[in-house]
Amino acid sequence: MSTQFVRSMNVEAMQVEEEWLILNADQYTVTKLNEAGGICWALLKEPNTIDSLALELQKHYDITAEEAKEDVMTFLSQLSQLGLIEYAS
Amino acid sequence: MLEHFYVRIAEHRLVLGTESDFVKAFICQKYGASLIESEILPEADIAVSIFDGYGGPFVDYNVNVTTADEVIVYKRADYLIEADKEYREARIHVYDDFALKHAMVNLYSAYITRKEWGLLIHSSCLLEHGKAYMFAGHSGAGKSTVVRLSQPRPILSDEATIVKIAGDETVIYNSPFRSDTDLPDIAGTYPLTAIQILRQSLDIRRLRMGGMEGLQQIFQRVFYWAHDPEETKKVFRMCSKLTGHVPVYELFFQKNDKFWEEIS
Repeated sequence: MSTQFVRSMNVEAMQVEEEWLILNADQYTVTKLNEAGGICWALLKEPNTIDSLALELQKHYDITAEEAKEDVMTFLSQLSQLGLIEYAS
Repeated sequence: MLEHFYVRIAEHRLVLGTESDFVKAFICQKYGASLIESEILPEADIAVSIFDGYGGPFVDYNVNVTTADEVIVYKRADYLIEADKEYREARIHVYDDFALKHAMVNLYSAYITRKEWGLLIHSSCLLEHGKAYMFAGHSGAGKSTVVRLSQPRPILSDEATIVKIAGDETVIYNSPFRSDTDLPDIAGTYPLTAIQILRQSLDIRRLRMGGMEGLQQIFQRVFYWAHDPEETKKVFRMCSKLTGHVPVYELFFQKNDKFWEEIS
């Protein structure tokens, strides 16, 4: 079974127009997400796998499955470093 | 002998008790505090006892915050605040008047955040035709220059602006938390009409910021000492409401008063 990711606790998100601003309330940092990031973030309210997020990106943008998967992996790794997502158990 | 003073800040009533002469002089001059002669103290939103003789001179702005047994403690080299979690009662220990000034900002900001009443924002704020205009920016960007150049417009704040964020309404109260100006007698509230983020420049122009940038700009200028994720979320939510109600602009300005033609 593939690993699932979900939003961390103590995170609060605001959507302004097409973009998102994510607060890490533990560290008092804010991170801005662009539209594509926002699409993934909206889904991460529930546990999701890399594949399911990549599939969603492909619906919105004209990209290959490999490109989508690569983008999602980079994105998740950055969010994880910022403490905004965690593994869903 | 402990003496008690009454202070009104925005819509909040404070009763301050102290024995210290410099504390008495400070609160009377800066906050317009009046001595309570009666033995029965009036009802207060925040009751504060202030003691001198604490710690040493100012070292840096780092405040260490700890919570235990329903008591929250803010500690800096030159001040210590102990308060209950609702900030109804507090004890402040200070080294000098500079420490007292910062401790009061800390306490009041924590109180209005806790109640999700509003925010204390590092900025100056001026009144023009009954409307409030806020000016923020990094140190040296020109907040106090704007105040000086805007005479004789009434000054609602020159350092820490009191913003009430309720429903669809965002209003400014006269702020006693000042650095260069004396507390004027300005009663009531004034709608916040625009927020300007200052940029020194050779020309004068004003650009509307995106909602995202505006929110980030305001969030980093709130007087707030993070200690509890739930409180931090309140700050974030209020910043978001604020920038939803009020436009944020980047104001490029020269050191003259021509910028008023751009903004009002």
